Amino acid sequence: MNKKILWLILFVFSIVIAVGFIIGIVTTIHITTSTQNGEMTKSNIETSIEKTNSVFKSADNLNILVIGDSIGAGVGDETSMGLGKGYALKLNDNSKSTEVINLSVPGAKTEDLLAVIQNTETDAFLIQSHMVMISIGGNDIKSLLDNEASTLSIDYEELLTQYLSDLKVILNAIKAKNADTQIVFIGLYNPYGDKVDMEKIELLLNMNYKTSLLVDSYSSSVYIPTYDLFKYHLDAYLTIDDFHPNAAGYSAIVDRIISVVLSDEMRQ
Amino acid sequence: MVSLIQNEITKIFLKKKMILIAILLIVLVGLFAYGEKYAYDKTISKFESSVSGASYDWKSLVNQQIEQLKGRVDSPYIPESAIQSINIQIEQLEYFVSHDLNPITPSTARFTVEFMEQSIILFLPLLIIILAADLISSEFSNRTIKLLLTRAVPRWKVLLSKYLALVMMTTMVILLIGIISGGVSRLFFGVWGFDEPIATGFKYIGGTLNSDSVIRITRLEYMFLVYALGWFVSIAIASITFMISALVRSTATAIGIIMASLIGGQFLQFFLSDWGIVKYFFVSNLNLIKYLTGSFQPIEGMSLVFSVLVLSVWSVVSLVISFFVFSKQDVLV
Repeated sequence: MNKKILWLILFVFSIVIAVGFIIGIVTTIHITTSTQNGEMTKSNIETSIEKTNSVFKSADNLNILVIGDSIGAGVGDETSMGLGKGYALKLNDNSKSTEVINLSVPGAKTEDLLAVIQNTETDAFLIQSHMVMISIGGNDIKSLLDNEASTLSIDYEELLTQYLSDLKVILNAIKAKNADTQIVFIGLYNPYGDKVDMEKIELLLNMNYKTSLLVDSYSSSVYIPTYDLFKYHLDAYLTIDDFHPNAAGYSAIVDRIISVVLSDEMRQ
Repeated sequence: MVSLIQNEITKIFLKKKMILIAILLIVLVGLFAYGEKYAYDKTISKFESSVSGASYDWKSLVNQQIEQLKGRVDSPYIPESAIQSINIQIEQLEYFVSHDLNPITPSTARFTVEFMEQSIILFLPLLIIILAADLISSEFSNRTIKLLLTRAVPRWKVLLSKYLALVMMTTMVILLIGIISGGVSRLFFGVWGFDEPIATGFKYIGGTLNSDSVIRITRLEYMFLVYALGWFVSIAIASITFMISALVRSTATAIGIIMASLIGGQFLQFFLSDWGIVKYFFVSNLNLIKYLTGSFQPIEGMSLVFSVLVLSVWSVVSLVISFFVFSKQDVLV
């Protein structure tokens, strides 16, 4: 008798669970093939792009466009000016009013910047800009510096090739849309100090070098090194997350941009 | 019919296979759970010694991560598809903060899912083979087939009762895996973590990961989905093993054939992934769970639906063959 009840429980139980599992399989198929959510997020984004779709007010101003990653966005800057506004403030040119538009996306990699550049919404900004500040590449190499991988050099080669080809497309696109604009490319610094081994620092420096070669091959384009600026000033120039610059760090970069770029402009 | 199934279940229990499976599971799960706990403790102590005795302050790191992610969502130029999955990431991190859980803490829910993810390609089929391989062939080698077939029931009914008993026991094995890996890992970790939100529903479209249709579910729901897929794979393996057991008359040969095709299939997938026909082999389609996380496309053109279909076809064909062979063959014992 006891055995019979046990058997019945086993029988019913396994059928119930099996039916449950079948429902589960149908659900997983539904999850991996449905598209409903996708449409929802897409429309969200379209409206949010429209919101900020204001082009530079006048072509007569000095129009600065900042694109790139969190450094471009000014993450960590207590004065929340970032590179573009900081530059405008220090420029202090009374004859011309300066306008800064920042399209940087914190966390963006080169491929994300490529998507921004290829978006037709960006064209209007590019065409009216007099200077384009670019900060990109940090997030590309960050994962490589953070992780211990046995395939480091292979991963790096792959990353560098992809990065350089993407950057080339970006720079070409900018120059194609506005040949006169001045490109200011902000190089990478090493936020980790001596916590990261020399081998990895070499990769970073090599990436900087390759970038400078590429950037300098374009007309009125300049590469701004930041590695040396930060090397002995990590404590003073980095914000609490020990990764992004603080106000002093941004100010140091801006000073360097001015010392590189401004003499040219003053002569005009 | 029901009494026939009952008879088959009793036979499986008499062979003490469920106990063997349970012991195998307890030993393996215990080892893995201990290993994971050990690795976790070591990481924490290594970190603490590197910051000279201070306790590992993960909370500020996580909060910082949340701030960064929120910044990304607010930016209008965030790549189209990413917002949904970033929101789920934020929710997940906030869960860790509000539950005072370090994100790298091993939890029972996570371990239970991981165990199924790891075992689905080889260990789970192995357990099912233990159950299924001698189901028919042992009747021949023990000469009990005479007693079975001289009863006043048609042959297909005998075979069907065997198959249904196998399906029931397979279901029980999946349940057993869930219970044992949950229970044992709870002893080691002390954290359930069933309500942690996670993201699923990634898709590969044109070679790139598409997160348009990412949805948020809890670990418990995810665990259920993963085990449902594990169950499906087990049923397919059970059906194929069942056919082999009906075809050959020695249990050892049956186990040999199915193990060889399992292991050989893994090689095949590894060496010949360019060869289109490999994706129609059942072994190439066992890892269904990877489709849920979106990190998987072993051969061009494979998807969850495709793999489920391939496994279904293999199961159905196996059953047809085994029924055909079993009811037609001469029994000379």
